[in-house]
Amino acid sequence: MGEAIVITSGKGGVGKTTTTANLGTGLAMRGHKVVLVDADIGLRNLDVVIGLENRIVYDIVDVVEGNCKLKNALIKDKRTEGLYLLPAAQTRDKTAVSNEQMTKLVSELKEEFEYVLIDCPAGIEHGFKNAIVAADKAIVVTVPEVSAVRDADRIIGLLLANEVSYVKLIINRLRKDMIDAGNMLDIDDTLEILSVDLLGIVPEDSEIIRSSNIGEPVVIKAETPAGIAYRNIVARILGEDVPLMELKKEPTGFLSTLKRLFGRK
Amino acid sequence: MRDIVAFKGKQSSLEIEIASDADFSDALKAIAERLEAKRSFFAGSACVNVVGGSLSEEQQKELETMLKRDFGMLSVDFDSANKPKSRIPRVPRLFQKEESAPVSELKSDVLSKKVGSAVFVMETVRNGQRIDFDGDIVVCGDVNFGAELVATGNIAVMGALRGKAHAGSMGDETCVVTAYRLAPQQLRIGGIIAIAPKNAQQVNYPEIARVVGDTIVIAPASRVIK
Repeated sequence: MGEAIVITSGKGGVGKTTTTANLGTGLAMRGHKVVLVDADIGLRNLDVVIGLENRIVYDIVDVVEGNCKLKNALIKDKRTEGLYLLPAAQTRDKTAVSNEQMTKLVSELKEEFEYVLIDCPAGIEHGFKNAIVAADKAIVVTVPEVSAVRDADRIIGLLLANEVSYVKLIINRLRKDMIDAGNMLDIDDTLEILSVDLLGIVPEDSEIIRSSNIGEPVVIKAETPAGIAYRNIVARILGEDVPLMELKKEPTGFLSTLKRLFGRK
Repeated sequence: MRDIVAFKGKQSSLEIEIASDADFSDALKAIAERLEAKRSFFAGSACVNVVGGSLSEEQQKELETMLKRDFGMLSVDFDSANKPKSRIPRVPRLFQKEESAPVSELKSDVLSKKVGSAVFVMETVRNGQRIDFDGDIVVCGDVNFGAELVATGNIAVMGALRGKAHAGSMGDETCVVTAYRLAPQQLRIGGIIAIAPKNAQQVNYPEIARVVGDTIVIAPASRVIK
């Protein structure tokens, strides 16, 4: 029997989908059987980020409406063994799946998979409730901005009220230079306000945008800061004790510029 | 036909105007019907000001009893249209920090006297959550931005108060708001509203907010409790 983890944030654009794709890929790379469920019906993106867009035949709405069997809608990842995607429907909206249907679907998936990662839509309406109804645990993604942290606080309150009591936090897109200059909320401020455990920190990394565009999660890439950060988070999900990575500024000296120029593969 | 009673929402109270030619029992019935129909809407009003209708003393008494008994109004005034206007500022004032206020002025014997029911909230109150209580509220945790506490009595936060707090929500201005770290978005005590000055410095000790004159004043808790 696996566990269902919802990845949520309240605010849009903080990196829920990217996080889902990377954590799912990372868990599968470690040899676990993982399914990603895109609950963002009508605005699906997870398939794009993971590079499976062209392979979609059936989706989550087809499954709950009985147009196909669950296993027909699951798309096997082209790179990583043990990773599957249940895509959202693009031509429908959030009302197409009820809470009961979602609960039934996720419990079926939990029999087959060790990890069911649910990519939650932004907002606190039906789509959000639908995504969290079957979750055993929640990962809240935020960025170090006041508005994102306040939304995360709201979301944590709603999760706790809906009896999702295991809530961990990922702080995404952290920029060391901005924190040092006092222009960004630092980790301690954020944790103090939200009073939940930190699962990990992902530094701002331009590689994320590139890898999302080509449909290849950054976690696969050994050398990228965000890739390392996601692999650390995966290890923590698996119960390993990994220290937080030290955030470095982009080095700007002459020598390091040379190193960077020649160090590139 | 013109209504024999008219309702007006004022800043801190509800004004009921009775037409000068209205029959008292008709007016009484009309008021009861209107309040009954929108009970939940008027539930937040604590004070009523009755204008017009040239009521006799017995009639005033009867109306007052009805408003208090049946509709939970706290105070009922009659024909106070000519009284000086409410001293509640329309724009929230900045609350003052009084680090150096003389201790004698800070002496507050209301603190120990309040006896009533209290609710203990054993978790952090988060954005979008609201706690409404007829009595005192004690939060064992933080009150985050976007959270609201509304108490008819005092409010104590054993943590950081970052959201909104309204003590004495039925008009009691002797109530206080206290927190280990008092950094609210907005404070209300009774009918007085205050927001933090822009350059307010955060201190690392518990503070108490209470009404002095017509302003909400903040002072170190240790100083007030003496």
